[in-house]
Amino acid sequence: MDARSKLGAILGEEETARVTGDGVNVPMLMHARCAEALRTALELGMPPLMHQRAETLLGEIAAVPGGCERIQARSISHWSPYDRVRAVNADP
Amino acid sequence: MNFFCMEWPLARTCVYVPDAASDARRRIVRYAAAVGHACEAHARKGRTRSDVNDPTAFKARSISHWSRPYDRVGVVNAGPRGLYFPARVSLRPSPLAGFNPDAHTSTPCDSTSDAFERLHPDVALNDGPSTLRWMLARNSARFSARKRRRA
Repeated sequence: MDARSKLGAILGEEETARVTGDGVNVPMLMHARCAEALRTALELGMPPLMHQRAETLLGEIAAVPGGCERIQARSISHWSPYDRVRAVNADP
Repeated sequence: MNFFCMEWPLARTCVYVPDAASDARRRIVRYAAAVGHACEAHARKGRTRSDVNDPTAFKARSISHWSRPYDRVGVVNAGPRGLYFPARVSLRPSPLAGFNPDAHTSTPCDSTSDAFERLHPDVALNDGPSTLRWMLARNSARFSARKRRRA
């Protein structure tokens, strides 16, 4: 079973098709929805300490796709060893 | 990246979500699990450990055993054979005996002493049981020498 099928098994085919459209950052969208569900849980009585812990853990998960994106966002064709002031190599 | 190791603690924290928010709890677990699979779906297919026949596959190795420039035959970089201790100081047989994820790539050797013998023949003397026997014999010899000296 490939990753797309696993995603379909978790979210359901309908929702998967909706979120995997062109230009959608699926990992970050999943993170945003998870954070929203966490907020709802806090409003409905989740202990604040546990909510804080869960948010930290969720942040660690989201740091992985976030870090990958920051690496990929810098096009290799724009990298210059002579860019000492980081005008070209600046983090987008 | 093993997302499961990161998602599991979050899923455990969801025990503290009250039943009134059971729907939110379900969504938290579902979307957290989806992050990993969404990343995997976008990842470039390449080196993996799932296919044992893939010669470029990533192999899990203990960082404490890593000695690439000096390990030309892959003895030290072979799979973990002791558990938490280096094989040369381990005094008990490895509980991982019979399980070697790198079996198809590592240098064939029957025991830890065999593996270290390939590095240097003298190192093979440091095998666990024989070291224990040597230490006991050495101590009893020292004690008996003291007794003789006192007498």
